[in-house]
Amino acid sequence: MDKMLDSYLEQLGNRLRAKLPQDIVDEHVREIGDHLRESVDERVLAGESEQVATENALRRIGSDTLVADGLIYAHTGLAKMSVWRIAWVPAMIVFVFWGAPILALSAMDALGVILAWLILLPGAFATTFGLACVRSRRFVMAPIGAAMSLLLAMYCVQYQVTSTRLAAEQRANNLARAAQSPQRVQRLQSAIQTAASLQHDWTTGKVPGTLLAPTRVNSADWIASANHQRPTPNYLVVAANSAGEASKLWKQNGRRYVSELHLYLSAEHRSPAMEVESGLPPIGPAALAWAEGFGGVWSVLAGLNLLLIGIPRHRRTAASEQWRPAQLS
Amino acid sequence: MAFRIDQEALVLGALAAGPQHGYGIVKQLRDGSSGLFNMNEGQLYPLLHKMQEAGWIKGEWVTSDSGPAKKMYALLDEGRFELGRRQAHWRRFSSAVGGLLFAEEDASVKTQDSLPEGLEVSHG
Repeated sequence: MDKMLDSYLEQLGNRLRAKLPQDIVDEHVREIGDHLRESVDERVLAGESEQVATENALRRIGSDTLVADGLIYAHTGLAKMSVWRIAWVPAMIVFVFWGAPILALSAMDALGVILAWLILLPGAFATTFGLACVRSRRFVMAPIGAAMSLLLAMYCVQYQVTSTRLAAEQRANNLARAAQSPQRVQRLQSAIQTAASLQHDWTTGKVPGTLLAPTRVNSADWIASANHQRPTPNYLVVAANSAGEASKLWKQNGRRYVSELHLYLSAEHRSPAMEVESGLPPIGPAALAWAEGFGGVWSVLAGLNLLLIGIPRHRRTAASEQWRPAQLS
Repeated sequence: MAFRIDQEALVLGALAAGPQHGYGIVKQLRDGSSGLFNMNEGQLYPLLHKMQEAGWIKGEWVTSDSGPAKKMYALLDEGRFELGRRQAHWRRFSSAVGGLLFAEEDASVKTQDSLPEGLEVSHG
């Protein structure tokens, strides 16, 4: 009898020792030991053999894992809160190294902020949840989720760094070119005025492409930007004899990313032909699509995981930390 | 059918009668309910420690001549207040459940009372 009880108490002590101070562990082990011995004594008095009484007493009190988990939870609350508490750390890391730069870079563009958050929110959720899952070792998809989330975060950070640098260089180069050539400025002004007059057509889709922020289309701003009189707002206009030439100009200026914001004049307005592109995209459309795709898909998977596996398990765990409800039969 | 039992309230109630050690609480709940509340003993101690943390009860090791020292738990003022709160809640709850479960019987009694003498309502 003693051997079984001692073995149980030793296991219990070992489990508790990993999480609680020694003095508290000793007290718990002593108290549970008293309980078990009293339980065994009572069963023996009731006619059970020592062996059976010990087995029954151990069965009644539950496994050392269950008891240890309950005691640790009573002291630390960790068993119940682990996922959400642990999620704080990666959440902050994600925000500092990923969210904050995105927000800072796109602070000049309200729409950019919204787009950044569209990536940030599901991404942050996926990352924190994935890491928390790994830590808690409760969810089957945890490793996959964490890996996907981290890849997503790294991809976005890398894209932000690269695209921001390139966009800044590109903007400077184009403004410099426009300013160097009076003839080019004149053509540019003409193109801009035409473009501004076609604003309605662009927004209603008569011209291929979509204007990101139609309210910002203002010929005065564009001309001023082209003349380098004030910082360009959000768009640059390249005047060229054809869309192909415009595209070539961009590429010559070191542009590597192809924006989706290509706005071409309709056929009857192709004199001069021109191409309008976003000057400083807060989030490139391709990256946005990929990031949103990853973030969105993973968010859905993580949400389903949480609903189908996490919450039921959590409830079972929480319920097992309480006494089992008595059955009124 | 089962209603969820307020475990904390039961332990507070058990301790209201006087200090008890863990095993004594289990026994008292089992015996006091004619075996109905035969609870999982392993979950008692986490519950006791949680209630200690909440300041409802206190635990002290007490030595006795008859046996080894035992950790005795006693109700504190906060615990008595909490017990009163739970008692009031339980009264409301049981009254509401009773009103719904026995609505038919109550209606039958009222109908019977309102009938002229000598007449009875037959069911079924």
